[in-house]
Amino acid sequence: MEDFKEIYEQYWSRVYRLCMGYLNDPAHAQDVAQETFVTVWEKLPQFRGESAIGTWIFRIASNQCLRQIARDKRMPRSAMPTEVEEKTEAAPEGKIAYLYKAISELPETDRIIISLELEGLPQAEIAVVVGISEGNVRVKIHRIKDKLTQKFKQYDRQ
Amino acid sequence: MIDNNDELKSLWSTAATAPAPDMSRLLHTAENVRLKARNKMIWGNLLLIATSVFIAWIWIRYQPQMLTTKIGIVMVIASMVIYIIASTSSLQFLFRSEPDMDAASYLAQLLRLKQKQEYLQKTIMTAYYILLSAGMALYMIEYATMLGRRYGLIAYAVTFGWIALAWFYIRPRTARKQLRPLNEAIEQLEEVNRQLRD
Repeated sequence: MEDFKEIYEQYWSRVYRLCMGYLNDPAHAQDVAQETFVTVWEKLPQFRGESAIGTWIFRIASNQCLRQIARDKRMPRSAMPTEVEEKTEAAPEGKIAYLYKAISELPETDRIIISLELEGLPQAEIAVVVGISEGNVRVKIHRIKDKLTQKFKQYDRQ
Repeated sequence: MIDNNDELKSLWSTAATAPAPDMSRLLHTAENVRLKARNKMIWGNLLLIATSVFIAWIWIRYQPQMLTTKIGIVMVIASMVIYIIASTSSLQFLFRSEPDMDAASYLAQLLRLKQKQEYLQKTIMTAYYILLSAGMALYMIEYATMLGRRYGLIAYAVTFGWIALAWFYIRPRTARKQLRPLNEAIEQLEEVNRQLRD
């Protein structure tokens, strides 16, 4: 319980930001972040320390984001009743809002990769989370950043 | 002007995040959700048992003489059992994914699971209609012969008319409705799986 509490406090914001990068929707991001921690809670006793705990948590969070694709669109989005949902932070504004929007317009896996990069994960660790080679991660990050920089040039012109 | 990595990173890290929900409440709610899912499954199983008991009661009460009637009853029960199993979450264990594998393997697994679900849904629906129609046709033989030729024929005409409507109109419509979201998810997952192969 203590272990989980520590993880929860340490990783909530980081997981939430990853979800925001992927979804660009504060309420939905909060749902997915919550589902991530419920999975972490359930799986923690089986965690064998084969990777760093952070890598493991980001794997679960990334998969929770990707799982949104396979969700039945007719079903309610979250199994979490509203009572858990505390007041959601107001939607971000300005440059940050633009950054989230720009990221959420990228292909799905690119959103995960760039969010992890901006979160400060080493590229070797991103490779372990995503399941591609480190070289491939490097190339992808380079391309994604080019795209984002281009988008921000448009933003500056606005 | 944002033109380098560090600026993107610092912008990212200044983003406000939603406050973390209270941990114990989060876990408590998760537990409730799990219990609700389990209750749903228990109800599904009770319904299954009730159906079987009801048919068994008919069997004992009316004592069918012909073998066709008995086979018909068994087939109708089988179709209902299939329907209940498919519509409650009794098959969920087939579609459980491992949430802590790497994203590439996870995506491949999601795609496989969705394809399996699509196949199963199609097969189950076909099996349900075939068993139910054939079962009803067999079941009716005994009673239709008692009705005499004319009324027997009318009874069969009505039944087969209904079966034809179900097979050619209702079944394809239901299939389209159920399979559309599944197909969309499969297409999108195929596309996302490709992203990592570039």
